[in-house]
Amino acid sequence: MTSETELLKEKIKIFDLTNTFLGNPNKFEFYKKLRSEYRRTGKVTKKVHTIRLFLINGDGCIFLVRRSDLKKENKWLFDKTLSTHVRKDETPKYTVLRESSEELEFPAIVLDQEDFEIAVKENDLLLFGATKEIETIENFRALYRYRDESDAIFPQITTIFFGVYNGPIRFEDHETDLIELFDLDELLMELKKNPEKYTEDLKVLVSKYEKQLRELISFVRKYGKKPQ
Amino acid sequence: MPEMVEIYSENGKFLCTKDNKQVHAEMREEYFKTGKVSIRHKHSKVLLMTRGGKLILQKRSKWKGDNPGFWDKTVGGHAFRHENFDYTAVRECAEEMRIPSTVVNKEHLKESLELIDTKIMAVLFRVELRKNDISVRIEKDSKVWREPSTTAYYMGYYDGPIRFSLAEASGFRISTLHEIEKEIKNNPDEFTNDIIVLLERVKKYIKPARDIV
Repeated sequence: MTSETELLKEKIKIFDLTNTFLGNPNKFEFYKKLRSEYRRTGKVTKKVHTIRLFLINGDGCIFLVRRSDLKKENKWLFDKTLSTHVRKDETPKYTVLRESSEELEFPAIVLDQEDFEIAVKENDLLLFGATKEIETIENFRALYRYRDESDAIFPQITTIFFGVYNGPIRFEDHETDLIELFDLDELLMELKKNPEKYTEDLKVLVSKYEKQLRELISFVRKYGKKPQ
Repeated sequence: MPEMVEIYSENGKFLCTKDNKQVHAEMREEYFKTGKVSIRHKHSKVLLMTRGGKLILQKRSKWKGDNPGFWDKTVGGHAFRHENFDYTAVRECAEEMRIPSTVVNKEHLKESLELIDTKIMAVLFRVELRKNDISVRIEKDSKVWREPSTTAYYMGYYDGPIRFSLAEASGFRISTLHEIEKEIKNNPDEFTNDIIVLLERVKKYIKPARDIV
């Protein structure tokens, strides 16, 4: 687990709105300034790079996490499996490996499409999670809901990943207090029925990637090697 | 392969062994005919907590026939033929969560926790043996029946990884007793009767490992 002291020292990659790299400020300080700029002007002039991962298991169900009250934003809401900032000197692929190991304590690898399909077919994925990059969105609008109920929309560069994993996870002491598996159709119904329980991010992403998620789920159900 | 369980009379006399599914069907039928069940089987129920004293609850699979999607104790199950309660508790931990566990005497708990790395193995201890424990079964169509059993209650410490077995669980949570009690008060329909009863009976054992004397 990343300690609080390490988090306060966390340096991230930031860019201007035309994607020109600006530097590696401290995350905590950067967001203080960004929030203040948003409050003053209603918009921001800088953005971060993040990753978002949807992880499914061999039954084709999606792991969603509930954000614990340790989080400043979107607490108690169900969210995609993992998301985090790309740190100084990291590529998004490495960020996925780091976050999988830090937050859910499982080893992940990022594969190209061909190797990803082989991994799902040939390996029961008990010992590692196989992930693949879907795309990078250069102006993703991320909605932050703070503890005082105020909202802010910050643009981000975000790289989307999908993954498959059947092994154990550990989430105690992290930023999640609950993990649940959802069937995609059940999730789509839930998002309509109880939208207040889910992050805006999740709603936007599920709607945008429903077709690709469905394709991956049917591939896993049809060809995935079942764990014993 | 059928899972054979031992059947006992109301006063604890061994009657026979039978296929678990068949016994359940017979118990259910008797309950809906007469309002009670005259036979018992053996059951182990386990509630795990972290060394910090937070409870690990399982969300029963949404595809289960009874109590689907309810928050429940960490694991539990019937004792199969020739199994004692301790073995059933250990087997259920292995089957449902893929975690190794061992049962120790309560008086050895403190020293066991000093010896055993609970990130690798769960340390269980038996809290109580209830001769007439009742599990309330709420079926998908909301029909309710009460299944009696002789049940051993276990608590345990565990800090390691958890593996989902979709047939059994569709979620896990790690929460304080206070958080769970608050939720039970606000949304009682999301919790099994088992966990509500169990929490009442084991409350005094829910504490961080460092507070065990």
